[in-house]
Amino acid sequence: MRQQSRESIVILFVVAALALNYPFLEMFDRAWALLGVPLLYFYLYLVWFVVIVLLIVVVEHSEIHEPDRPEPSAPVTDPLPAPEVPARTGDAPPESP
Amino acid sequence: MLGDSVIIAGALAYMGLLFGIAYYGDRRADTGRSIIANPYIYTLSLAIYCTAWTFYGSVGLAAASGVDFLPIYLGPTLMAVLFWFILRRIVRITKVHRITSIADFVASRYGKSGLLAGMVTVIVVLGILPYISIQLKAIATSFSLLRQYPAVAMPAFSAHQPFWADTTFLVALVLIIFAILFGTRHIDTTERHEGMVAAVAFESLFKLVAFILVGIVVTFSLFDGPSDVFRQAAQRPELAALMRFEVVPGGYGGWLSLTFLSMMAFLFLPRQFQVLVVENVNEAHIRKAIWLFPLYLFAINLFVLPIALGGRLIFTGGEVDADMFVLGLPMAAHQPDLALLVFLGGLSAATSMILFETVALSTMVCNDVVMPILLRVNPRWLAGLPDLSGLLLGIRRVGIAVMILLGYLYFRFIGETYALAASGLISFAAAAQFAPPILIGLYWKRACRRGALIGLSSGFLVWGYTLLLPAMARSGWISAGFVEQGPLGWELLKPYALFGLKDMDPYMHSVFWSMLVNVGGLVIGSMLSRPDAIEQVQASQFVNILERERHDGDSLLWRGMVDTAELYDLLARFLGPQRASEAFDHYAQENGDCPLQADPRLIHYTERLLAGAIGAASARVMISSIVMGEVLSIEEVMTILDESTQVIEYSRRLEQKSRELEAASAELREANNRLRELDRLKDEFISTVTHELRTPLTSIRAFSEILLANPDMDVEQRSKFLGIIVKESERLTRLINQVLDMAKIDSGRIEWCIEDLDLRALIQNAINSTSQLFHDQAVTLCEELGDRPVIIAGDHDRLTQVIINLLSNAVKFCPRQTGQVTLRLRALADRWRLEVRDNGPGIAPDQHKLIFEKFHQVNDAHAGKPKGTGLGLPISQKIVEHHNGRIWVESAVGQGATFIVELPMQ
Repeated sequence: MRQQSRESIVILFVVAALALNYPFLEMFDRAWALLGVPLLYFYLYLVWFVVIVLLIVVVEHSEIHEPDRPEPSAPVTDPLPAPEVPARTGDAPPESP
Repeated sequence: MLGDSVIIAGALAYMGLLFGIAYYGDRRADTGRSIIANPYIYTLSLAIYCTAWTFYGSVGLAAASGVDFLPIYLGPTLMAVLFWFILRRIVRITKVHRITSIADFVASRYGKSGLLAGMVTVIVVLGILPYISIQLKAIATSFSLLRQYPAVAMPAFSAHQPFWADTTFLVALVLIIFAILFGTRHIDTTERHEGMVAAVAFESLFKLVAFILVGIVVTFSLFDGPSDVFRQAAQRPELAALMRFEVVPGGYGGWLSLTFLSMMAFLFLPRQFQVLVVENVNEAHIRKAIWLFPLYLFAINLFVLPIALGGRLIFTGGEVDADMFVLGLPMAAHQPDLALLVFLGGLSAATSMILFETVALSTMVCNDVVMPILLRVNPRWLAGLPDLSGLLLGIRRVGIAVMILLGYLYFRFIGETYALAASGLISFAAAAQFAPPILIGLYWKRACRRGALIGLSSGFLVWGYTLLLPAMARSGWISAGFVEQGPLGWELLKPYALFGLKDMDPYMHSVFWSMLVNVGGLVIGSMLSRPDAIEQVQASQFVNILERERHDGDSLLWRGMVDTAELYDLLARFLGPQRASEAFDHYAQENGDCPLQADPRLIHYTERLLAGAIGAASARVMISSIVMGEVLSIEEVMTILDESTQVIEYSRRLEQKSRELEAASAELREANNRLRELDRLKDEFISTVTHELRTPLTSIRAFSEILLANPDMDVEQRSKFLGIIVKESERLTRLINQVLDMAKIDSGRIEWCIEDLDLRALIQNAINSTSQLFHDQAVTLCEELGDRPVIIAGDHDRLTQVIINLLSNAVKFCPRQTGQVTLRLRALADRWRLEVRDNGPGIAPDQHKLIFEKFHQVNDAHAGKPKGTGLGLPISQKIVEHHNGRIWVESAVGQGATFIVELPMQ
C-alpha cells in the first residue's frame, strides 16, 4: 500500500473514531427526525456508511496503483510449505571487488 | 403448519447441508483446489463475529436501550480500518512461525513461554465457556418459541424436560460430531480447517439473508416503511426515549469503552483469531476484507432498530421477550416459512460460533495445558509411545466434547441468570486482556516475558474481580453484599467502584482498571527485567517481521548435536511417519541433502513443524529433550547476532565503497580520455604553429640568402626582396602575437579591463583604422550604426580587435572592385547585434563551426592560398564569449557570408 494510502487510512481511523464518540454524538442527540428517521440513528448510520465508502475509495484506489505483490503465504495444498531458504548471512561474503 | 417434526427435520436438514459443504470444502482442499482461497469467503468467515448474540440479542438490546448495541459493530469497523497495519503483521508472523492459536502467539512472542501459553488458555476457557452456553440457550429459546406457532407467546422455561428429549441437547451432540469430524481430521502443521471455513462462510451468508428478510417483512409488511415505524414509536414516550442517547447505560464513557472492547475482542477472541489469522489463506485477502467486512456488519444491522421498535409496538403486552422479536414478529405476521428461516439463521449464527470456538479452545487446551503437563509429569510414558498423533487427536476430540457439553450443562442448570446474559460482554473484556501483550509486543521490542506475565495475570485478576465475581453475585451465587458493600464491608474494594471510582459504567470501570494494571505491569515488568536469549530473538523477529527477509534467527539457538534419525523419530511420533518423511524429503529437496548429523538449521526446521502440531512452547521442550548440548547463553547469541549484523553492515559498506569506486574510475576514465584528446590537440596545435611559423621564415631566409649571395643586385630588385622580407616578418610577428593571445586567453592569464564604453564609437574607430585596407582592395563599406551611443561593459582593446578582425576578414574574402561589406548594429530585446556581411564566395554550411577552430582555414579552389593565420576567429570567439556574447556565421556558398556578434545589453 502506498504511503499516501497508509496516511489516508490513519486519518480515516482518527476521524471516524472522533465522529462516533462524544461530543459529536451529543450534537446529534436531538428529538428531531430526518426523512422520518430519528436524527441520532440517522447520524450514526450515515457516518458508518461514509466510513465504508471512504475505505472502498482508499483501498481500491491503491490497488490500481499497486497490484498485489506475491506475498508469502502458505500454499493451500502442500501440508508442508516451503521453508525460507535458511542461510547464515555472515557465511557468504559479497563477491564484489 | 409448523410442528416439532418439521422444525427438527428442518434443523437436521440444515445441519446436513453444512456437513455436505464442509465435506466438499475438505475434499477440494485435499485435491489442491481450495474453494475458500478468495477474499469473499474470507470476509464471510470473519462474520463468525456475529453470533446468536447478534442475531437475536442486538434487537433485544436495542429494544431496551436504543443505540447501545451499535458500538459492538462500530468497534470492528474501526479495527477493520487498521487491518493493514495490525492484522497483516499478525498474519505474517503466524505464517512464518507456524502459530496455531492465540495462546501460541503470545507464548511465541515472549520466548516460547509455556507458562504464558497456559495462562492465556485458562483465561480463554474461563472467559468463553459461558459465551458458548448463551449460544445454546438461543437455540433452545428460539426452538421453544417457534414450536408454539400459531400461538405467539414465550413458553415457560422448563428445566424438567429430560435432556434426551431436549432438542438443544441433540443440536449439541450434532455439533460435537461436526466439530470432531471437521475440526480434528488429522494433526496438521498449519492447523487449518478448510471445510469448516466453507461451512461458516455459508452460515454467515444464510444468517445475513434471514435477518434482512425479517427486517424487510417487519418494516414494509407489518408497517409502512421505516419512517412509519419511527413515527408510531415517537408517539409513545417510552419508545421515543429510545431514540435519544440518555437510554444508553454508562453514557458516553460506556459507549467508548464498549467500542474499545469490541475492537479488541474482534481480534483476540479465540474464534476470531482462528478465522482472521490461522485460516487466512493469503495476506492479499485482507485488503478486500478491510471494507467488505464493515459492509457486512452494516447490512446485518440495518434493520435492527425498525425490528426492535416494531416489536415493542406490536408486542405491547410483553408476550414475547425482546430477545426473540426477530423470531416472534414473522410468527405474528403469520409467515411460518419465514419464521423457520429465521430459526435456521439463528441456528447458523450459534453453530458457527460454537464450532470454531471449541475447535480453537481444544487445540489450545491440548497444546498449551495437557501436553505440557504430560511432558512434565510423565515423560517416560510419553516417550514409550510410538505414535503420539493419535493421542493428540484424542485429547482434542475429548476437549471439544467436554467444552460443548459443559456449555450445555451451564445453560441447563444455571439457566436464566444475569451471569449468562452478560457473558457476551464479559468474555469480550476477557479477550481484551490479550491486547496489551500482543499489540505492544508487535511494536515494542523491549517487552519481555516477565512483563507479559505480570501484566496479563494482574489484568486477568482485575477482570475477574470487577466483572466476573459481581456477575456471579448478581446471579445469587455469592452474597450480594459483595457488590453493595464490598468484600467484608470494605467500601474501597467494592468491585464496581474500585478505590472509590464510582461514577463509571461497570464495563468502563473494568476496562479502565484491567488495562491500567495490564499495560502498567507489562511496561514496568519489561523495563525492570533482563530478557534471555530466546526472548530477545523472538521479540526482534516479531517486531521486524515486515522488514526482514529471512527468519532464521532462532536457529542460532540450537548449537548441540543430534542424529537426523532421532529428529525424524520425534517428528514421526507427533505427525505420523508419512507426514514426517514427506517433511524430511521436502527439506532434502530444498537444501540438496539431509545430513546424518543434524545441523542447527534442520533442528530449527523440525522445531517449527512440531510447533505447528503441538505449539511453540511444547515443541521447544521436545526438541531440547533430544538435542545434546547446552543452549547458548544470551551473550553468545548476542555475539553471534552482533557478528552477523556487523558482517552484514560491513558487506553493505563494502558494496557501497565498490560502487563509489566504480563511479570514480568511470570518471577517471573519462577525464583520461579528455586529457588524451587535449594532448592530441596540443600536438596538432604545435605542429600547425610550427608549420605556420616556418612558411614566412623560409621565405625570409630564402630572400636574405639571395641578397647575401648577390651583393651587386640592382636596387629595384633588392628593394622588392627587402619588401617581401619585411612583409613576411610582419606576418610572423602577427602570428606570434596571436598565438600568445590565444595562449593567454586559454590559460586565463589575460587581464581584462572591463569598463563602460560606447560600442558605436568603438566600431567607428575600428572602421577608421581599417579604412586603408578597404581602400587598397577597392571594397566599399556601408555602415548602419544608428545615431545613438550604445553603452556596454567591455574591454575596449579586445572588442576593437574582434571588429577589426571581422572587417579585415570580410575585405580579404571580397572580390576586388565589386566587393561590398555591410556593417550593421541594431538593438534586439535584450542584446546588441552586430552584423558584418560581405559578398564573397560564402562558406559551406559544414564549415560554419569549423572556422572557429584554431588554424582552421577554408581551403578551396576559389580562395587559393589561405590568407590568414587561422587564429583570428577563435580569438574573437573567446573574447565575445568572455563578454557573455555569441558569435556565429550565416552563409551559403556563392551568397556571401554574414558574421554576427551578439552582446548582452547592460
